[in-house]
Amino acid sequence: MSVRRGLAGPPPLRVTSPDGPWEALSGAVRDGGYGLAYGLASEWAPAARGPALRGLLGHEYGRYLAVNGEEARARFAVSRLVLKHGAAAVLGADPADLELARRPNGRPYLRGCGRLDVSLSHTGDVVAVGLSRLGPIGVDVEPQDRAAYGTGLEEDVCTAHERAALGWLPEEDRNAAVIRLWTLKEAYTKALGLGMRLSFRSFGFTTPSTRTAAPRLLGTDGLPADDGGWHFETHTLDDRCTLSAAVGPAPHAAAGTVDASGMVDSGLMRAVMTCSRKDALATTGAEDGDGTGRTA
Amino acid sequence: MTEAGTVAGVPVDAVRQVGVPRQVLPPCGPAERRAALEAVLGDPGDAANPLGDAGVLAAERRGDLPLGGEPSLASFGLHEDFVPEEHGGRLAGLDEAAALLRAVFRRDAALGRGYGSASLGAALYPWCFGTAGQRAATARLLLAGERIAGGAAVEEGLTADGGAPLRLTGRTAGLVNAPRAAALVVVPRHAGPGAGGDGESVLLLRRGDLPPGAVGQLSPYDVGVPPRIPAGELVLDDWTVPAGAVIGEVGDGQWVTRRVAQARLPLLPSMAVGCADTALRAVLTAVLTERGGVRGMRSRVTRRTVVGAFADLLAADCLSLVTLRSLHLMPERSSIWSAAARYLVLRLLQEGVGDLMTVLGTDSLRDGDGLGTFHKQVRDLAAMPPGPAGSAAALATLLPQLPTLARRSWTAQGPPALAELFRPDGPVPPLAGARLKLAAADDGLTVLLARARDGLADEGLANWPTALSDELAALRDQCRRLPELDPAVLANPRGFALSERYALLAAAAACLGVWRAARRAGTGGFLAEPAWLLTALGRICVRLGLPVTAASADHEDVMLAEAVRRCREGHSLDLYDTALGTPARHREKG
Repeated sequence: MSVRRGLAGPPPLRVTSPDGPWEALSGAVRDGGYGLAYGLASEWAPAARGPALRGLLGHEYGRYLAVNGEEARARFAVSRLVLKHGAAAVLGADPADLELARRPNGRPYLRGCGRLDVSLSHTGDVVAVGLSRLGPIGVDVEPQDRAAYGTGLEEDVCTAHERAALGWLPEEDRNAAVIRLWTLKEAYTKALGLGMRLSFRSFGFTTPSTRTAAPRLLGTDGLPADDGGWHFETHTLDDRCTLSAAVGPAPHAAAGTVDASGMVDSGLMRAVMTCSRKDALATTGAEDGDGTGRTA
Repeated sequence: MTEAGTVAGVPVDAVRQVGVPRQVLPPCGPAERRAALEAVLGDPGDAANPLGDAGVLAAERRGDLPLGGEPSLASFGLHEDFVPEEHGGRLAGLDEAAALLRAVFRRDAALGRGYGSASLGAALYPWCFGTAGQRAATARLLLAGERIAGGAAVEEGLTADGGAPLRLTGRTAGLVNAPRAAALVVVPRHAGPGAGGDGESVLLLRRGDLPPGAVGQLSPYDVGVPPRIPAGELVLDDWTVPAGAVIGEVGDGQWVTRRVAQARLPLLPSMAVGCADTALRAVLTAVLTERGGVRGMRSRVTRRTVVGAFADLLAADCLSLVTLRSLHLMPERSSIWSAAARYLVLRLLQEGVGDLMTVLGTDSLRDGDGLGTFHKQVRDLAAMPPGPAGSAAALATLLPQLPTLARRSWTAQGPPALAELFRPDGPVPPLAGARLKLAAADDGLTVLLARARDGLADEGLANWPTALSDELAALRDQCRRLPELDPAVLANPRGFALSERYALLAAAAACLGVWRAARRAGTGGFLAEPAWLLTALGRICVRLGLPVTAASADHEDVMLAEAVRRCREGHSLDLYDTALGTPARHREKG
């Protein structure tokens, strides 16, 4: 199953509390394969102070306590709240049952729920999450007005072709364009699990002419690169921030929902249990019972 | 098909005739067999070799299998390795068969699947549960170089009415190799009440018995099978199944399919170790030749990433080895390890190899200079079936066993697994399908971790990561609190996370077992050194979220030196250290 090509998906869902509503996010994941959501740490603060936090953070509670500074700690908590409540809504699960784990390269994932890939990003007050039942997803968010163009940042993150393309833009659009390229590159390398270790000057992106058009991956020479079915998009959040997302292809993703209870083959599970039960009975009787009996 | 007999209902006297091998194959040990296949496949670095890296990449761009690939495998007689020795073939252990086919996967996964793994997987149905006649007929067909297709799933679109004999109506999903297969394994559902009840039946159908035109060709792009391998479907309308085509009993399809899956599904991940092997070698070669924008050998990123990918590859191979050998040695206990391997092996390979992209520096998107081979292998690993359906089945096998095994096993007092599980190329008894069980009564593999709790200093391992033993104890505590035999309590993300933890611990135990077996063998070598073991366990600890002590610089040096040596000398990076593509005459001299 391939990601939609050419057009950006629905705009990111703004959520103000654990209660959602999350239907738009579940719908985006169901219909388009991936969904984006964001929240403001200031709005989510009450939930981040609640008694349920410890249970929700689970294994990460110690890490949470070790975060320096109240603001950073609150943002840590809110990012997990938004991620777990969003993912739980998509999975039809209890958010406290979700464990946020890390791969050796540092990339987060929901342990045991690999079919729903996740990505987290925050800047200032904004916490953004991406969820995908297709391939890997990466999101990155930055303030639009962050000084970028002319600070030398574009020298570090842009290919020669991208720098030349920036020069063709009206002066006032260049800063936003650098932020857009930067967040796209962050999102792509986060989805790959490589972060900043992948050279940002080893690949580039187009500058789309309309907001709904999806950027394309370019080689260092500025020519379209084989993107292997990846999809990229950029959104503006409340006229303040730029959110970019990268979604990888999924050769095997099935259409529809990723309900947690549907993640196991329940018929097989019953058969395994029947076999176990026979063993338990057999320990008091004949050796190994009839573990090969044909009712399972 | 070259034989006139029928797969279905072969008379007993005919079975006796074919039961005697038509030809006696010259004896050949597994290592010699791998070397002989490598000699046929040739030097991967030779640009003029159609089965070399460049040739395979060119074929993929054309949308073809590599030139001469299948004829070479046919003349080598690779199909003999899919037939058990008792039926005149060379198949002894599934671990050996997978390690052999891995040589093909090192070149091209599509070639390996189209020529080999698809037939081997389908043939496991008759090998595990077929009658003497069905087995003999299958052997005859495979030894003649024919293919068997199907057997991957219960066919939702094909129904059998429950009468006797069964009649089939409907169409199958896309089946790899169907257009050129001499026989098909299909598992139709029963349409309703009748002699067979509500179940499914496994059928072994000979192509020659099917009505003309029943097997249609499909575009691989439409059905989700890998492009470059012919795909097809079986379309039938009220067709009467010949007598004797049912494998097992009518209505037992699910029962048979689940047990065959236990043996069949860990095979492909084991073969996929070959894809990761080639990907890692491609990157190492680029690093060693200091090409273009690729990071050099002194880069921290290069060292850490290469060592990580090498360690993950070895861990994946250890878990695969233990699983495939357990199917022969401890079939009643193999279910949980098979599920762990299906859940974890491909992921370990994908994660280790995926990170290598960072080593490519500003060349990360380039596909020249051998980097195209790296990207191809990463794509092939990502596309390896069965995808999420595989993890759903693996979770369904793992989950219900956790509460039971936590109560019965996972302590130092439990009986450990047989030492033979951990010996690559060690002999195994033939596969006995009737002994495969869906649930294991105990778990001798993770017992190794429990027993290692107080350290392994007396075995020459100074710094055993005790966190792993503690994690097993913690998992045991958590799973003991779960009710037994209650699916509703288990089938949720908390249960899935526990299953993943178990799979990671099983992989750690498999690594420990392989290291210990290499050490006790007393032949020395890389596998007997602690460097790879502790690096692989460190990566597993990171995945479990356990505290890890910083990786030892000495271990990193040992790992890198070994990877570089194997790369320079053209050896595989898995447990077998196989010389790649060496012509036979060179081997004899050396």
